[in-house]
Amino acid sequence: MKETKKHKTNKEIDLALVRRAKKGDYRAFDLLVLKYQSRVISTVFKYVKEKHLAEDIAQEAFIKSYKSLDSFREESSFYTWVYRIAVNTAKNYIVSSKRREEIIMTDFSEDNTYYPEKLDVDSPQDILNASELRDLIFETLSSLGEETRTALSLREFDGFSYEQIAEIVNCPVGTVRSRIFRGREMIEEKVRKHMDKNLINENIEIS
Amino acid sequence: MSISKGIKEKISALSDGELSDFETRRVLDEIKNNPELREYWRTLQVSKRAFQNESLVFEGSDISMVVSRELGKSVNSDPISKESFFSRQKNYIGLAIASCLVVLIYNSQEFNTKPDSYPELASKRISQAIASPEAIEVLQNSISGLNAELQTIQSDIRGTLEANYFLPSTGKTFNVSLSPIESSPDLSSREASRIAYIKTKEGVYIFSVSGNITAEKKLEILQNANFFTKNLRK
Repeated sequence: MKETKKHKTNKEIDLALVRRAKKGDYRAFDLLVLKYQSRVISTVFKYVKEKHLAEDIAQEAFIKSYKSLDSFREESSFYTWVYRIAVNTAKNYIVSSKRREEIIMTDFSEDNTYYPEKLDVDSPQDILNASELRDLIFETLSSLGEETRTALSLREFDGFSYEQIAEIVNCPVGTVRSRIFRGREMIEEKVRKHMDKNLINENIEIS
Repeated sequence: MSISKGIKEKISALSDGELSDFETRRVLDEIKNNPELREYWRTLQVSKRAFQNESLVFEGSDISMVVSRELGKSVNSDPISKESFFSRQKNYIGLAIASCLVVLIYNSQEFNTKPDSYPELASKRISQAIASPEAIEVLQNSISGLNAELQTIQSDIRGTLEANYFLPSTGKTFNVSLSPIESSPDLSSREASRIAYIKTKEGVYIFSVSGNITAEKKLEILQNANFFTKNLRK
């Protein structure tokens, strides 16, 4: 009897890209950065409480991880490995900057009535955007046709492989792949529009 | 540009670990040649995170280009130009003259479209560029101790003075700018900017640092700028 492919963990999903990156294929590493950058920034933000600083430290973490990719032995997942590097980089930064004075609030004038707000902090707008984005994704998922929605849900929420989904819904693996893709196409279109709109709004606010 | 649905379907399968090594290599080639496919991969990860109930607060942040540049890799972007516009120098008068030239060259196209206003505008911008040698001094002093090479310097009609630097020791590039608060610089296109508001007796200024240098270096530059801005005159 043929054995169905089991659930794939994130570690297994990343493995093909990690191995290509280890062979020097930067394009594979770039996809891993795109995949995990917001998660890493979010982790670092918990330590430094400042968005742009968190971005800087996350950059350093990815750079360090690429430079030491040979030492990654695939015992843990790629993300766990990068996570450790990011947390250590953030902790080192905090230790080395503890004695520093926050420059943004410095005022050289004799009149001390002006205290501008920091511009580079996480804002309620970011949180609102994130909430809108999540609602949009789930609304779009709900609006998909039943077959498409089922295939995508079995993949995203239950982590079934394409082969397992094919068995569950009784159709060829190729059809499962197409249905999942179709569902993602619909969601991607909405997400892209939402992100473009927010980018335009941010630019208007800044300028 | 229309993107092949077949390739996007493969990218979707790659995100689920359902692609063979051979197909993965082909998809990577396609992504390299098409920034839209790279963006598709990124957007796809957003929805995956939403389904995993992860935070989406930082979805607007994209550090991937900076990472690739720092590592000297190209990902659908132009390679970094390490060619210096100026050789390293500390002569502020020279910088002021150079900034005038840059302003003139930079704006020549615009002037050409408005021939009547050319002499007036040119004169105004030259005077703006050299009217505040202290501003140039602040920019230059802000990077003291970093051994950075000046690449370009320019000012605009709103009074913003901006310079791009290159660090030969690391190959990194960064940008510093100084503006009166009433003409806030457009930071939307810059990566990882840090900003300081600096208030003097003459007014409030915004000093910004952006680019491929560490957060610590950026802070050091802001501290230097804070110190020297005391000498600013509007």
